[in-house]
Formats: sequence, C-alpha cells, structure tokens
Amino acid sequence: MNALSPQQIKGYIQATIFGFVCGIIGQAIMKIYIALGLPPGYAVPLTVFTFALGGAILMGIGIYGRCFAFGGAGAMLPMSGLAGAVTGGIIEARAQGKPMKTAIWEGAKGPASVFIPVGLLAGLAVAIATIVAGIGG
Amino acid sequence: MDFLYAGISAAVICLIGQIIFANTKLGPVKFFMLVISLGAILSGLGFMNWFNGFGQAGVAIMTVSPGDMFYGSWMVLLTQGSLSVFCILIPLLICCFAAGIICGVLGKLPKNAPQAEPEAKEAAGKAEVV
Repeated sequence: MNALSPQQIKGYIQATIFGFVCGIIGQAIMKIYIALGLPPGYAVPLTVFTFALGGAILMGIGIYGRCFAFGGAGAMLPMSGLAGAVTGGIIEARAQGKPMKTAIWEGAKGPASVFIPVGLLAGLAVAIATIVAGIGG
Repeated sequence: MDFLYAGISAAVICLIGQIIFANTKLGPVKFFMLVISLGAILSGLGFMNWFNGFGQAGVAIMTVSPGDMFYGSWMVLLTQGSLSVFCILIPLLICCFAAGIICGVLGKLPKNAPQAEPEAKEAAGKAEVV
C-alpha cells in the first residue's frame, strides 16, 4: 500500500470521530428505552429503527448530506446512513424534476433493494457452513 | 463506561469501513453488500457475539448487525424450526426503508437544484393563494 496522504488520514479521523459520536448517541437512545421499561430484546431493534428514522429525517431536512461529506463511509455505515441513502436518492430524483413514482423507485432500487436479499443469502450460507463445520449452534 | 465502549466499537467499525471504502473502488450498493456479508461471516465465526456484548448499541446501530441478525435467524430456523426472529428482523428493516422513503417524499429539495426552483416557487405561490 502507498504511503497515506494527509487527505486520507483526515478522512480516517473524520470517520472515526463520526462513528464514535454515533455509538454514544445510539447507546444513549438504548438507555432511554430501557429506562422507559422496555426489555432489551425490544429496546435494541427500536434503537436501530430510531437511528434509521433519525437519519431519514436529517436527510430530509438536508443535514445528513453534510454528515456524508464529513464522515464518508463512517456516515454510511450506521443504519442512519442506509435510510439516508434511500431518502437522498428520492430527493435527488425529485430535484431533477422526475415524477414521484419514478423518484421513489430510483431511491428504493439503490442500497435498499440489495440489503435484505443479500443479508438473507449471506446469513443462510454462513449458517449452513457453520452447521456443516460444527462450529455454531 | 458503557458509552465509551459503544463509542469505541462504533468508531472502530467506521474506521475499518472508511479504510475499505477509500482503498477499493466499490459503489455504495456493493459496499453495503460487502458490509452485510462481513457481518454474517463474523457472526458465524462467533466474533459478533462477543462484540455485541462489548459495544451494545454502538454495534447494533451499524449495518453489520443485520448480517449478524440474519445469521442468527437462520440458525434459529434451521436448528429449532422457528421463524420467530425473522418476524422481528424483516419488519424492522422494512420499517427502516419505509422511513427513508417517507422522508424522501416529504423532504425539502436542495436549494441549489436548478430544476427544483420553479416547482418550489409554484408551491410557494399556491400556498400564498390559499
């Protein structure tokens, strides 16, 4: 690998900072749900959904776009980045003057369309592999 | 201390993600495919179990955790014959995408979009008339 340029190092540091802040916010949201009396089995999925909703809303009002510029892949990796990518795709298509149906389709066919099928396939493949190898259980 | 561990684990995931994203020429779609597959593979190797305990929500909010959840769901289905975990996971992901789509439909358009301005003016004009 070549020597790291200052630009790359800056990107790495920004992604790390963004991830750190996201982790702390996520933990705070989960603590709030647990304090409200939800069992952890529900608090964790609800935290994930809250994060995705937060990312979508922030993208909708135009703040998360700046987060993408700041955090790079660090902003894409949380669930907020995934929901934000869907929202961003739709808003971009709308800004180009496309009708609403086309815009929704363009937003949904990006990362969202591959996420569930690929997850299902990868999960199945790994589950079969671990059962055959006798590791998991 | 929980908060520190969550922050550190999320930061590590983001740093690794940024290293992968910066050094390979993957688009966002392929990047997400890679991330969710990595989540499933790490989960199969037993690493995600420990990592989830360490980072808690810091790991759960990342896109690697659905990979882990898909693996766990398949394991429950294949070993116990129960669909219960899928019944939480799939609606959860669909809700996340639905939130993205709804916010995309309702969200405001960026100011610098050239074609968007006439629409925005029309909408403002209609609002004034009403």
